[in-house]
Amino acid sequence: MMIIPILMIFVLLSILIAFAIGGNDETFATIYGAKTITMKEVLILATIFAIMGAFFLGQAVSETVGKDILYIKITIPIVITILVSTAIWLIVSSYFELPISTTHATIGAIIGIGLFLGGGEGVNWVVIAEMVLWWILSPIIGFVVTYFTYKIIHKFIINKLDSFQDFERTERIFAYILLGSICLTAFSRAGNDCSNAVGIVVGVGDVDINLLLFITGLSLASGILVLGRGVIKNLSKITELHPSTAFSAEIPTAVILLIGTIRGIPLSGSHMLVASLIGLAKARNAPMKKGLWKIILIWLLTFPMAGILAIIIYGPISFFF
Amino acid sequence: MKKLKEKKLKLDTLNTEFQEEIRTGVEKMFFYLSDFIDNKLVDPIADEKFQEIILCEKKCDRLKEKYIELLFKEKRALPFLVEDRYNIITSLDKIVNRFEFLSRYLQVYPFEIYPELRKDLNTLNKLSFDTINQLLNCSLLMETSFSAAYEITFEIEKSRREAHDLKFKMLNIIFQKTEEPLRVNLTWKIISLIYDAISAAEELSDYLRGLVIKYPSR
Repeated sequence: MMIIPILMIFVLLSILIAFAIGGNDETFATIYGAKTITMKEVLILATIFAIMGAFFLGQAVSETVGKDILYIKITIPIVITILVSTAIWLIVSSYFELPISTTHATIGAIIGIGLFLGGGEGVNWVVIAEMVLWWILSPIIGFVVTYFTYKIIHKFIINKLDSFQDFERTERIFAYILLGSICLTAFSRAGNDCSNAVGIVVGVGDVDINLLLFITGLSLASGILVLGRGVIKNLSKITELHPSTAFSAEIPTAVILLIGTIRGIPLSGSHMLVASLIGLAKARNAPMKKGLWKIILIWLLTFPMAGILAIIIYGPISFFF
Repeated sequence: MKKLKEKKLKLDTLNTEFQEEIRTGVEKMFFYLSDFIDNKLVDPIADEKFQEIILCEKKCDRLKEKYIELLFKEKRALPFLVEDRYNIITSLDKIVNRFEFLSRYLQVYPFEIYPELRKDLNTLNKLSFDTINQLLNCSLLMETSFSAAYEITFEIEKSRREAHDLKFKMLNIIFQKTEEPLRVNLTWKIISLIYDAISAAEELSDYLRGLVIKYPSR
């Protein structure tokens, strides 16, 4: 009899986390920064693709997050602890308009609790190692691919433009391609991100994952609608953008995230996008926004802070449940 | 998409109208100044050309305002192009304002032009007419061919140098005069006003050259 109310609590917490993830979703930052679409259009598109992505692509990554990381038995207090600590860290960073990796926050909390309860043997280090490898590689790939994509576009297309009208025509074409690739990113990212909200609930079992993914998609969308503007605006100002340059930054994120989501690897879209924007600024020798160190700092803090938060709140939560 | 195309078309039409109006104003100014230098103006205020210059400046102002309003109506893609087009149209308008000021100045100038200055002043007037027309061509070419516009900027620079030499040649003549200091002072001002219009044209052409260099590196 206790199971249904507890599951309800899990689902409610998943909704809260999905809401917080949506609030920290900066997928549309580049296209907004390139002034290709307005904030209203960003919010409409983000809502549609968040729901679709969560529902159609969310399952594989959710199962990795939910079942493969911990060797210890996943109990009710553990699930609540992970969900609450992730939500707290996400809301704090969204408040400061800083894009963080929800994936890192969730995995950090899972590892924290795994180490706290099971020591070194409580965590599946092989799965963690594969994830960490991807986490390190994906921003590097983002940086490098963006750098060279920009250089190639610049050399073979932009350098050959010979008038205002040429620029307008070319940038308009890039604007459409950019819109397409961003929608693809939003789609795969919603699938990847919702795993952070529902993954650990999936680990408990006895839940209709499709229904849960659909609800999560709705919550992601609500988060974007209510809280998302700040982070999108903040990230869109890292460097000056227009459709062709935003396209260079978006392509690696779209491709890597799609591959990761299909293969069930939880990746950080935020890290890839920020790394791509830095790669873009370097390729153009353009100045970057002041305060980038804050974003990097909160990245570095996310993993340990989520783990420490999980350990701190596990005591009170296990007392109640 | 349709909306964007319509906006672009309206912008192009306004820009063409604006440029045509400047051409008319510059042409009127050229003939008005020529007549003034050659002492052919019977009544500078009642002269038809003067009235047309004033009207032209007003029309340019209105067209510029419409253009800017439309330009900033939707801050969509390519904000750098919006910004550059804004800078071009406001700089062109400043040149028209200079001519309007010069034409009003000629009305209140109470002397005749020194006969020994007439030839050079006419040359300076012709240089100013040609330079502004070159500048208008250059700004139109920015829409269709950076390379052609780039070439013209060097011709404008050359004209400005010629104007610079002429200016000092004339100043050398009038500053030698020991009589009528007021006439000397006010005549110096006419030379400077014509030269300043050419110099403003060169400033804008430098800006356009900068854009040609800047765009491919974006």
